[in-house]
Amino acid sequence: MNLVSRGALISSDLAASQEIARVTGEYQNHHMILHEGKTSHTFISGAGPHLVLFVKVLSEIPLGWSRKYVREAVSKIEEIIGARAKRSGKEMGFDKNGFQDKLDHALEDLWSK
Amino acid sequence: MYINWQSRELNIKIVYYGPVLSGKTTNLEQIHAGVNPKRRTELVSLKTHEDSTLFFDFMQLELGKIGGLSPKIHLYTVPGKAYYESSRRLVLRGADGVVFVADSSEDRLKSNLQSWRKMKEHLSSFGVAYGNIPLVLQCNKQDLPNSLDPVILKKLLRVEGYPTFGAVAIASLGVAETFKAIMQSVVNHVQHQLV
Repeated sequence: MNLVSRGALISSDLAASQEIARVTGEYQNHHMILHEGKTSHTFISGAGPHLVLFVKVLSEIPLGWSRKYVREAVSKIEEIIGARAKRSGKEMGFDKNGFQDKLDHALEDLWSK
Repeated sequence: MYINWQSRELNIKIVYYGPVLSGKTTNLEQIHAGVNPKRRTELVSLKTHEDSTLFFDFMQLELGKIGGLSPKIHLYTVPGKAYYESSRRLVLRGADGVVFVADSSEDRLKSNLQSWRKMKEHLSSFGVAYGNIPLVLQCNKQDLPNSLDPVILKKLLRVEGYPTFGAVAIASLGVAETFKAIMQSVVNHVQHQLV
C-alpha cells in the first residue's frame, strides 16, 4: 500500500477517534492515539487542522518518553505550518493565468491512457 | 482545500454522498478503471463482509503541475447504510465539493430524500450553509425501467441550481461528466483562496 492510501487510513483512524470523543462529550483540542504492539508502538496525532503525524517507535522505548517526543514534534510542525499558512498564493509563486483552462485540460488528460 | 506550499500541493477533497446502493463506490471504481494508472493511487475500500462500504472508499488523482502547483484530488465515498450516520458525517467533514449520487428508481425516492436532508444537516453542523458548497447531483441507474428522469428527480428532491447528470455508473455512463463538473465547480469556488 502506498503512502497516500496509508495516510488516508491513518487520518481516518484519528478522525474516528475524535468523533467518538465528540459524541461522548470528551472532545479536546489535542488528540493522540497509541497502538501498542509486541515489537513496536505507533502514535497517531493531529498536527494542526490539516496534518496528521504518524510515529512508529520500538516497544523498548518508554511510552512516556515517546509521547513527549510526539507532542514536541507536533508543536514544531504547527508552528512552521501556521507561519506558512499566513502567506498568500502570490507570495508563494502561484500563477493564476489560465489556471481554470489548464486544469480542464489536465482533467481531460486523466482519461487518456 | 489545503495547500502545502512546501511541496506545492493543492489538496482538494471531493465526497460522493448518497443513500445505500446508489452507486457511490461504483463511481469511484469506474474512475479508477478509466483514468491513467500513473495518475492515480490504488482504491482503498473498507468494506463489510457483505461487500457494502463500512467507512469509506478512497483514491487520489494527480493532475501534474498547473500554475506552479500540483493539484491532488482526494475522492471519498461515504457508507450508505442508515446506521453509519456518524461515519458519513465524519467523511463529509472538510469536503471542498460533494457529488450527491441519487438512486433514480421511483421506489427509492424516500431514501434519496432522507439522505439529502441528512447531508444538509451535516454540512450545516460544520458551519457550511446549503448553497455555499460546490455540489453536483448525479441521478444514477437511469437504465432501470422505473427510473425517474433527472429533471423530475431534481424537482422532487427540491434541488435548485446545481449541475445535474443522468448516469449509469455501472456502464461508466455519466461518471466522467459528473466528476469534471464537480471539479470545475470546486475550482471556481476555491480559486480566490489561491491569490
